[in-house]
Amino acid sequence: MLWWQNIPFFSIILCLLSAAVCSVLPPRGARAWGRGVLGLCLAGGALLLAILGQPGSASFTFMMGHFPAPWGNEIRAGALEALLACLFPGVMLCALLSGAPALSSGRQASREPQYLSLCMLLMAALLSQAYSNDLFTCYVFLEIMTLSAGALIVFQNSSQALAAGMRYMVLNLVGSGLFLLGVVLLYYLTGHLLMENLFVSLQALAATGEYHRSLTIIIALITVGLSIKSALFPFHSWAPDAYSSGVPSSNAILSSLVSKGYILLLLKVYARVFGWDLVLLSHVDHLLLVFAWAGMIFGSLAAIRTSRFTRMIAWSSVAQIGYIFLGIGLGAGGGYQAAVYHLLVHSCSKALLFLSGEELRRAAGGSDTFADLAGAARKHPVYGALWTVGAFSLVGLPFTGGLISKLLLGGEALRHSPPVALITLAVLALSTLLNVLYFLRTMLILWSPGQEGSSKRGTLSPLGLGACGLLAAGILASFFLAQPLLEVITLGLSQFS
Amino acid sequence: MKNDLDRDLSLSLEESSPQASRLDAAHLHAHDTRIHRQDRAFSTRENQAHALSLGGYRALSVLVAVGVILVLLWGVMDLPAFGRDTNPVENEVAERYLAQGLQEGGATNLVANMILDYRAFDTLGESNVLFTAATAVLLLLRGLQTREADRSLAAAAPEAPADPILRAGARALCPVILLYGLYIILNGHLGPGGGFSGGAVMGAALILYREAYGSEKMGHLFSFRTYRAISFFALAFYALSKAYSFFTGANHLPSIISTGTPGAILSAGLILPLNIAVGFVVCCTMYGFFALFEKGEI
Repeated sequence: MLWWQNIPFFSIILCLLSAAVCSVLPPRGARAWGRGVLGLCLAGGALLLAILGQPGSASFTFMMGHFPAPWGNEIRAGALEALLACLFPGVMLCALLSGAPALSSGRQASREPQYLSLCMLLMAALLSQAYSNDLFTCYVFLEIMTLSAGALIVFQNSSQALAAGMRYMVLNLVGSGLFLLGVVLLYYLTGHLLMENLFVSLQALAATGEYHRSLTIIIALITVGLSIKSALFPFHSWAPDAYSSGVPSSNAILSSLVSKGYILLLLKVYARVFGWDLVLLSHVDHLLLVFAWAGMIFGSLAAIRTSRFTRMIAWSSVAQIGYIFLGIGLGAGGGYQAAVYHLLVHSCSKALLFLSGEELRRAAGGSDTFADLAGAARKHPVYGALWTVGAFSLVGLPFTGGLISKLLLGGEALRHSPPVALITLAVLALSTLLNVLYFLRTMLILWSPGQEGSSKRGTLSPLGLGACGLLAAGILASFFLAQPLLEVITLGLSQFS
Repeated sequence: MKNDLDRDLSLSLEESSPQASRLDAAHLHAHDTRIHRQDRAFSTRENQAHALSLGGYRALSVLVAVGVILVLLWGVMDLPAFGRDTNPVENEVAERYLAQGLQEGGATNLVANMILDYRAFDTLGESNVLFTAATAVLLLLRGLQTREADRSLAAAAPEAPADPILRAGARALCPVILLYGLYIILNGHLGPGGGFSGGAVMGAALILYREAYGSEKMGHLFSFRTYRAISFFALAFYALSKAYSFFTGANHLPSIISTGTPGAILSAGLILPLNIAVGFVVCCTMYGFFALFEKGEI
């Protein structure tokens, strides 16, 4: 065992321990502690990526205790896990740095330690979701994700946030329940919870043709459960409220991290437990494609219709989740690759839009309607520019990572049968056109001359600006460093099987 | 509660229909009142349409639920029959837990070996699920008392003194219940029991005492500071001790933790201390939930 192979275990335990520590520290101490821990996790993830991202490197497993899997618990890390271990703490750190004013102002101030404690729990859960090699461990940490994310929504305690949190809870618990049913049935059919052993047993079952009906139901249960939790159309009804009624850091964390944790889990289940052939056999991939196509169009249409700024960003998430699921639906190889790529790009872009959007909103006097936001970008040109970078990325313009993921999706679609390829390309084109419509409209409003003197210029916090700058740098880097990034993703996915 | 939910769901329905773009969640408050009005008088055509969509929604949800139930039943019929010794779950995993659990874990309660030794990482996560839930409730409800209106309301209505029978009963029962809870926790590695069940029993004792003697008197015994301190020490101990065990296990280093003599009270390595930590977390969570839901304060 090499010393750096302790990093995954160390980051998870450190986050869990920090959750307890943050809950007893005073606000300032908890803030510093939380940021420090996230920085440490980010550094650990970067180190792991530097080692595991090299071509030809192999993944490794880590025994959680004195007993080897399948008796004991086990975690596993490869190139893709290392990449996500950089993304998750990085984006959360940016969200907490940039969203700090809303957390420490007024009535909220005394509750900030609890907020940070929940963020630490969420980070531990996200990292475990990435590293875990055992389906039941995934479920345990999925519960932590569900509960802590719900609490992040209601932190503000406004009636709007409470209603959104309530709806989130009800629907997400349905999703958790379906997923758990799937896991229980899988255990009953195979006697295993470890992903490798499940894969072997399921391949044997598929070869004999036994329990075909049950397997199809299990795949459908897990797919639908996780689709509800990641807000895929038509299970998205909780998402626009949940993504837009919390404090800015909650909005950013929910839309760019929590949903990605569930998608990652689904991808792992498909790639490492069932294997793509079994998914094809159950025809669930068709379901995913149809939902993804519909979501890409419907989410964008809803974003166009809404008259509120934050809500528009939230609705665009529904469309973007559709893109990621489109990648998964297109299947192993190129499809998964595109899905993971878009997952990375969307995490950075959506967090940037929410966080810089909040600064623009504050420049406009806290209003959320488009009419009041006219000229907001001129008051804060830096944040205006950062917001524009995020919007460009989601539209898929050159020099942003969004273009690469759309190219990957389009390219992969061409390898499928003509009807699938044609519909996918048509939907991609239409959705891009709709994206252009609402992001362009918003940009024009933000940069228009607008009313003068109606609001005061907010103070620029260097930390918040740095955090948004980092996210924008991530978006640009995913364009300019697309080739090495794709190699890491391909390597990570090949280590899955 | 049910009405609230209906209203929420009907809102979501309205929102996904094309003609309702102007309905935004930010206007939730306005909707609230509008729908209240509709509850009272279904007279206009718009209101009738709303009632229809609500009825349609209910019918649809019943249909979906029945559909899912039927599909699940259909799937279950395909599964291997329950309890046969040839079933896939009777494999080498369960076998080792039963055959070697006593030597490897050291607890005569084999379930304790499984959850606190073999699969301790899952249980570490599970106790953090409780902590997450407790923190979420704390975040949600503890702020409420600081609102002016609530405080004046609380001042206007002081707690009524509890029934003398309840007080006498609680005085006799609380120590016994607490002791029994403690026994379940301390005996968790030797027989049925453990931190989760024992902690729940101890939490029940605290709740009974609070009901009988009021929150103020309870405050001397168990305040918010106590709650914070106990949760912190229990969880930090859990995380740190398991970190040591995971680290030594994975790196194949010698560990100072020994399994001891199976059956002795001080045996089974970390299982007894972990049961105590879990018990404290569960007890605090139970009592915390009750206190927060009752008064918004621990």
